[in-house]
Amino acid sequence: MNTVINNNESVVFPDAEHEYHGHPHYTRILIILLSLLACSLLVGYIFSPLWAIVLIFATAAWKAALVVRNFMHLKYEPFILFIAIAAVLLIIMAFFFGVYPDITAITPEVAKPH
Amino acid sequence: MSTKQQHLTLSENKIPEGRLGLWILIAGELVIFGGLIMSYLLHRLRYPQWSEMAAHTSTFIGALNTVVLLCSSYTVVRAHEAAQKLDVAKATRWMTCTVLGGLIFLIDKSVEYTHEIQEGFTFTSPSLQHSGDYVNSLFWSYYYIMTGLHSLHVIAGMVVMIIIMVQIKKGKNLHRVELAGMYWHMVDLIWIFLFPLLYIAK
Repeated sequence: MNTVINNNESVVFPDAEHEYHGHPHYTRILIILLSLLACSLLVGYIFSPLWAIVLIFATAAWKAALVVRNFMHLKYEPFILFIAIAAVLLIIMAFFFGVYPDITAITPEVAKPH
Repeated sequence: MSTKQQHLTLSENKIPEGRLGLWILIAGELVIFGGLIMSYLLHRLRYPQWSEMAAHTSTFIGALNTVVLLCSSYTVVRAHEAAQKLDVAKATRWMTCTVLGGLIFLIDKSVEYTHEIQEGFTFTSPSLQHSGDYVNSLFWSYYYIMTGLHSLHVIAGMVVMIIIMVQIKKGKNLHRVELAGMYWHMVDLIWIFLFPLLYIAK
């Protein structure tokens, strides 16, 4: 157990948190994240609009996965937590596909206040 | 010399309770922002003319803010690493960098908001509504709700970070550096999706 000496008091830092997870190579992760950002900015100039949007959101999802797994240390968490987070994402997707037919059926004229 | 002992308790699933609490908070925040983002996406697909409105947002400032948030996420994990090694001075320095990152983000956002408001694009965009363009006015409502709510989370993260910095300087609650970091990463995570939606997909 580690100890910090401060103002004549020794404060014991909890070991449970220390031993809970390791540390990935953070600098490497940052470089990958910044490279992905540069790629997402470039694809708009190179590919057609549809492909550009698909690639831009694919890189965004990749960046998000890198942050969650490495910076938030989700890869060190028990599997049950993956399921909990996946359930949240499923709820959001259910909302999207559940509402999609209603939203696309609205015409701009209907959207105007009377 | 007295000894204060701070015990971390583990939940039934062997997750430290502080982390578990944070994950529950993050899941709740994901529902809020996920709902907003999905709702925006639905309308964006319905109204292709929103691309004209998105063209008024500054990709440069958006990209700059993304770099700032990604770098501040890096500095906060380094603070966490330093806190684990009980290097309070280093942890405080990295956390100060994170708070500065948040400050730069807010300054950039203020500059961007100023330009947009000067162009007449506000939360309700009266100029667009007067010309009967309610659909494009809705884009700006989404824009200000999503980026405004996100900025409020940045401010909350900065306040939390400052409080924890004060605590760790007294040698207390070093484990909270990681918890503050997790919250900050969530703020970064939300921006990762807001940036392409509002700034790149034009």
